[in-house]
Amino acid sequence: MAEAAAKETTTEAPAPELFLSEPMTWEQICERYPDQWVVLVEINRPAEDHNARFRTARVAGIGKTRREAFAQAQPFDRGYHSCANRFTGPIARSIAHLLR
Amino acid sequence: MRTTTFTPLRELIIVEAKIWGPRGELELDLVLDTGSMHTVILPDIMDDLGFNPRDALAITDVYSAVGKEQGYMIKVPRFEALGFTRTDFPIHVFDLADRYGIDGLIGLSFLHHYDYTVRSAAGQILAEELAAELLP
Repeated sequence: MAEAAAKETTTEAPAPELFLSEPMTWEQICERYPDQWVVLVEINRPAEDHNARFRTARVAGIGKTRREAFAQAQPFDRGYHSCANRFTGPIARSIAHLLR
Repeated sequence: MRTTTFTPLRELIIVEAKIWGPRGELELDLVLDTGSMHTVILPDIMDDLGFNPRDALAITDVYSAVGKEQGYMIKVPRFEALGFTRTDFPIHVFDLADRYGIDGLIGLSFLHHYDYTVRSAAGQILAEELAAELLP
């Protein structure tokens, strides 16, 4: 009986609150969210220039892992067809030998 | 000839790439790796883009520092890097030993289509498409 009552009161965890920053430059994003994964949307970059770093973008998700940031952002579910995942911290010096 | 820039004298040569999937398109940071036969993307990314291992061309075994791991090969509708676009491009999907902020590797499966020069000090990759008769 007690178990049944417990089941009845069990609720799902609330969905993460959707977040969207103002447009920021990459430098501003790194300063505000150091050493974290960020999901970027509304990326503003010069057209037809594959080299150009973006001018500004909005941060839609932040996390210690890519998965965490993406789960918060839910970019495709929110109607963003195009987005980017970026890490704001430095690449570890020791990674090269780990790659193979 | 197309020129791609990267941050010189960094530990790795990291360039931007873009991949298209069933759910949308995603910009990535990939390491230019002439020691890798395949172009590699992490499974999390492919999941997010809507790819399913059940659609894989093949299941693969990868021997890494931590032992044998499984991955899979899958074709993506579009892949863009170094200023060039490839369609129906095969990607090897598996977890790298560690991540540290990279999304995968651009390997020879992509690079073999181009004649390219890496200028490390200047932070530039110059690439041009190979003539059809020179393709592997």
